[in-house]
Amino acid sequence: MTDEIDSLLQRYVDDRDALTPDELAEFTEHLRQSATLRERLRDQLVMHELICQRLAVDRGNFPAQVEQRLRDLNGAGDLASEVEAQVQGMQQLASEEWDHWAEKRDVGKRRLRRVLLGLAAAAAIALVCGYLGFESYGPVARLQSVEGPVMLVRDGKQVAARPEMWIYGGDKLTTTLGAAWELRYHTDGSLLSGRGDGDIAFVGGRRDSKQIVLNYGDVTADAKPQPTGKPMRFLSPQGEAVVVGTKLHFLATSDVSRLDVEHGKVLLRRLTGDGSEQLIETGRFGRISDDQLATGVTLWPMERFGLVVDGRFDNTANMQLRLTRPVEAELIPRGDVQARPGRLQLDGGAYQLSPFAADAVVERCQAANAVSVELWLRPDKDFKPERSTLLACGPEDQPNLEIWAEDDAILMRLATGNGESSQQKPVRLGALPAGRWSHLAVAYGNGRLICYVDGRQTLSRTWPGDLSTWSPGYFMIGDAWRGDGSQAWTGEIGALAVYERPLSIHEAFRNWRRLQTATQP
Amino acid sequence: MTDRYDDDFEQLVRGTQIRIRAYIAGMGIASHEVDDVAQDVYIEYFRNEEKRPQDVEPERWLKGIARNLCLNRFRRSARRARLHHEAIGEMLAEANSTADRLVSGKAVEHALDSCLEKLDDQQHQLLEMRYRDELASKSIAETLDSTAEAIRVALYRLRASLRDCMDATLARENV
Repeated sequence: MTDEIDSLLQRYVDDRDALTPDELAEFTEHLRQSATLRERLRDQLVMHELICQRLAVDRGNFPAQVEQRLRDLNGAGDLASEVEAQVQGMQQLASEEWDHWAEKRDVGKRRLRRVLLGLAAAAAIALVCGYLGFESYGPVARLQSVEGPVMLVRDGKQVAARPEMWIYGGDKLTTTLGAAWELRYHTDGSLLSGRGDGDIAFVGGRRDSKQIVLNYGDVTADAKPQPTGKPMRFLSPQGEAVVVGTKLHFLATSDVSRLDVEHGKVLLRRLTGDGSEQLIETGRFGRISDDQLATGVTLWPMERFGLVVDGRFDNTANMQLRLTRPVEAELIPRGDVQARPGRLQLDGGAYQLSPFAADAVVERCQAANAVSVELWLRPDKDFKPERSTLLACGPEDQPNLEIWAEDDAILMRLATGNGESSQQKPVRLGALPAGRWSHLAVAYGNGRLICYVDGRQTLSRTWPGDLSTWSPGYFMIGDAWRGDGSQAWTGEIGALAVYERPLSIHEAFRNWRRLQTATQP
Repeated sequence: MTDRYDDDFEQLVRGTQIRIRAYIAGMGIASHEVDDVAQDVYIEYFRNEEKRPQDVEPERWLKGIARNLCLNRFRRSARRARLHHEAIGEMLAEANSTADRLVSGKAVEHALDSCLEKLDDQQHQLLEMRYRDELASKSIAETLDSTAEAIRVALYRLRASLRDCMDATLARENV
């Protein structure tokens, strides 16, 4: 195959509209003449599709899309039936009026005709208005899935939400711990989902309304490209986000609203103060508080699903706890530690996660029988410990999970059992070079333990037992609970997250690449 | 239309969707349109299931519907040179390739995942940028300080490499 034909094929696979008409004619002729070329093209197109199905964020759960299409078609049938019923009602009314007037002998025929014509005109107008109105005003979305305590509030009345319930303008969803829901907008298939504690109101009466008031809670939207003049909008106590067509996460507490744009563009606007606004683009966040609208690159976390705690250390040592409504979980400093812009610096001291948050980590991971820990860290250049504790979770004498450094190696012990307590042997996760930022991700779930260092798998083995033997205790970063500093880990930690599910290889690679690109040397 | 979505139809969708979507893509339908066409295929099947001859397997019937819908889409398209796109679609509908044979296997997803894990960092990065972040070759080239042509060549080779890896994996597992 010549280079020229190669190039045509590669450009065609890359973009079906990339070839000029002359090039397309030439390429078509080559295809006619060569079965081999046809096979190679089909190979490339099929492989392209298979990879898309696995990696593209919007290609998942195709069966659910088919089911929804069928239900939408059924729903349209129901709506048409209602319109038809209205038409029949009008016809019946006109017919009854005709009978009534026809019986009245003292009513002149001329007057009778005028009245009947008026009725017919009124019925026709009512029919048109009813049809148009019915088409313009109606449900805005439909619940696709509901788990846990999700309540639908309408006209002051509250019912337990169920899948396939319609959502109308004026409705509200109230949710508490353990709740999860997803809905699909009627007109364009945009998705909106939420977890945990939340209060979400839907405003606007028209079927194409996509205006959401997020009083508090955490929602994720996967919005199709929005029609001009009718974008999806989020309102929170502090700000407004206008969505053009994107995938985003919007979180609101009583003090702060934060928008992370995973894909696309969203206009974020302050509702108080100077009313300033910012266009937040892919991979960036906007954060509105009482006094400002700040933006930056979203380094962390890249994925909220299954996230229990995460820490972005922007001048403060705080973790975000995601059990009920998102709340701050304090990191209690001990000894020689310091919170710097974008990192925690540990020089022989340690941080302790607040007891409530520490217990929540154990409880959530134990319930899910899965845990992942993710760290972005840089050991000190001259750091060569015999043994130093990087992270420990659980009772002091028998941690549920412990990660420590020995020379330049990172080791871990994960406690699992079968009804009675048992400890697994330590395993070597890999090497973390001193003086250099590294990404460490450990994932346990489905009976398997996997570790990734800088996006590359360094360990994968079956891991018997489960997390039923886990106990509440301490969550320590940098040293053991009773550590005196002699075995403390020294270096910097840029980010830390704990999940109640196993991270995938793609997440580990993606997160490492983003952190590596965005971290200042 | 009967208001039902029974288990049999759901099983059919789940059991055939990878192959039907791949078949549609293999006819030259653009990636962002594949799922729309595929949904139309299943809707059409569902609406007119009684028209399927008893001796024709459901998947073969689905592919027949898919072929017709793809060709109709080319014909209705306002794109320039639509006749050529239609001609290419007709030729590809009749072509058979190694990837088609792979897709017909039961463990194709597992094989692809296994082969994806064997890629090096650069290859991972390229796939993530192209397929997850949906960046055009030109944008990827700018980011990686390369040329669009070099990126297309790299992607071409990567897809071929993954196909070979999947072929070997499935052969080893006798699937």
